[in-house]
Amino acid sequence: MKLNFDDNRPIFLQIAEGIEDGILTDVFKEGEQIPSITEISVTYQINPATALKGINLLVEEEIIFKKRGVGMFVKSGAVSKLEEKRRNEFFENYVKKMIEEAGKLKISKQEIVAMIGRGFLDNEN
Amino acid sequence: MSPMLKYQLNDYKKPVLYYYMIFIAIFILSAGSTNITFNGSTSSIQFAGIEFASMIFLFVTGLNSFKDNFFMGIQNGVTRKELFKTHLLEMIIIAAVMSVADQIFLVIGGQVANVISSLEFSGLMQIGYPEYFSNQSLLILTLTNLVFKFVLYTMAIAIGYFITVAFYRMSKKIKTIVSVGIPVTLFMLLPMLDELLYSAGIVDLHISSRIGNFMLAVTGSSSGNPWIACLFFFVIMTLMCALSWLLLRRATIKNR
Amino acid sequence: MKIELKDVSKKFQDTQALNKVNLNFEEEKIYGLLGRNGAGKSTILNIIANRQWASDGQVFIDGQSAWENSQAQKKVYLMSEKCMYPGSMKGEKALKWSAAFYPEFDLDYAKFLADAFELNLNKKVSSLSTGYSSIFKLIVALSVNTPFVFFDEPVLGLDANHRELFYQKLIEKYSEKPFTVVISTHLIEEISQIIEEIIIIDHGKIIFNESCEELLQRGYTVSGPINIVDRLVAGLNRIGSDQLGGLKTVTILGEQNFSDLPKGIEIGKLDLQKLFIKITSNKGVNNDHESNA
Repeated sequence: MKLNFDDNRPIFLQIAEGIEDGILTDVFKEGEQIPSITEISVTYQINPATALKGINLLVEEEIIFKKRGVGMFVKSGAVSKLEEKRRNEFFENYVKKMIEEAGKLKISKQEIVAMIGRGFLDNEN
Repeated sequence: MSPMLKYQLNDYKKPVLYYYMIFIAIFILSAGSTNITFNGSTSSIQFAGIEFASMIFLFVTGLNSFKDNFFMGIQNGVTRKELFKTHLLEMIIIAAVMSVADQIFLVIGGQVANVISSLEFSGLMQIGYPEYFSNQSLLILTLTNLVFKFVLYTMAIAIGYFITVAFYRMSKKIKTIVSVGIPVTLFMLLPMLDELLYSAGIVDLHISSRIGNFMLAVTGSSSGNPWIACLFFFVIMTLMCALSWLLLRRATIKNR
Repeated sequence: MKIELKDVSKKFQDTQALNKVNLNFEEEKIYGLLGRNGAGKSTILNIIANRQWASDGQVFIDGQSAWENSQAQKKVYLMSEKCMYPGSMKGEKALKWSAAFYPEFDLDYAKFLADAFELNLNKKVSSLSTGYSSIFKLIVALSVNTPFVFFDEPVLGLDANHRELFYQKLIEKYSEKPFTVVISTHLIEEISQIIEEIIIIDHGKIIFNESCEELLQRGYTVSGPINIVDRLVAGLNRIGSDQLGGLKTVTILGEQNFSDLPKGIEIGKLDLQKLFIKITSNKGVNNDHESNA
């Protein structure tokens, strides 16, 4: 889990995202325990209230659940839920923005598709 | 017992213990050495007024018992009121303990001195109030002796404490003025003025003699009554304590 | 349970150290008390902890007057720059006595911390180096378990490792058993993620008192070519500006609602340290000093 405090977004969002990344990359598997608020806040030296705020976001989205007195666990089905959420975000944050920018630069749909193809090729090499 | 009193008494324990250890060591050494002869003549050793030594000791400990305790108390959430109350309690306890201890020494010392002829051992009462001393019953004498020591000792602590609190409250400038001003006034200006007024015929008796007479009167020396001295010591002690409280009430921790 | 300062003023001879300060320290929150040297941070803490008295105004701890009130004073602990222990007292003894004065003091935890910081408790507290003296005082403050703990310049003389260890232990302690923490410092960057509430004091006056997150969201920077930036920020609450060649960066405090940004203009995140320097530097705030120049 990586945090970048220079990032413009509030820390609690970065905490939530960091844990989501952990779940998506199988660091925290479904049904398994995630670090406690204390562990998170001590590790990143942030106020526990901030960490809690980030965690609560994930509890509301039903990605993790709290077991009283035991700790916090990844809910089953969390991965697919997250993937769906991230797909939507991907569309909103990258695809839509890309098309917007392309409009300004007068790049056609065909050209974008071609560029994407080139991007994949570059990535493979 | 409050933690502060426990702390302060604990602080006093060592110096008091050392004081008596040194005292006893000197006493035993001198009692032993009286049998040694120097150049054919036996030496004679006097222990006169052991209370005087205790008084000086307590004055010095009084001087040392403000700043450290004030800092320690304030750091640990003790109020000035509690600190002052603790100071009074401590003063009473220490003075009482040392009065009894010194009285016991006086009795033992007297007995030892009876055996070793070259050793003299006498208390302040015996020297200062010889008439009273030889006229009273043992019970009254012991009681007077204890009360006398007790008020004398509390006064010594109270004066020492007052001086440090006063110095603590003073700014650097005033501190310098006081430390220079008091000795200069007392030992230079006053005698000069005294001499001037006397030789000019304005006063018919030296001020210093008047002070001397006053001291003799309030310590009961002129009348031979130690209880007058007790009252005088008590008044001074009360005054010192009252002034100390007025100064302590608004004492602050300076930042640097 | 909270601490309230009501119109607290403090005058030292001819200097006004505090000027009608109104402040609340709420239960179980972490506060950053920030200000330049001599701004009045220590004076506030010293008045709360009875080391000094207020010339005017009142302090309440849990509803009770704080001045000369032992019941109220038992609820606060002030770790200050000044070492308050007698010169001959060893660390071990000082801990023992702290435990005698504060019934909730955790002696075992204090010894554990001394181990973690590699502090020698057999040394006289007064003979410790600045760094270790700070460490000793931090250990007492972290073990004392009073509802309010004030740290006045806590990391003075500490190296980077020890500073990090302190912040870790503080957070650990706080998240296990929350208490009110007030950290007074001018090293803002290090505590900006830890503090929840931020109080900025300047020349004896409170100039900011709000949630750290809100303040950070309220502030932002606008940078770009001078003429465009000037046009864009006209009428906004400017708290400072920097210029580098033709490039200007202005720090703004307030809602950010630009509908469309002109080319070459960038909006940046407000940096707490920078904000602090901007608002406490003696330059006029919101004055059009650039037009006079």
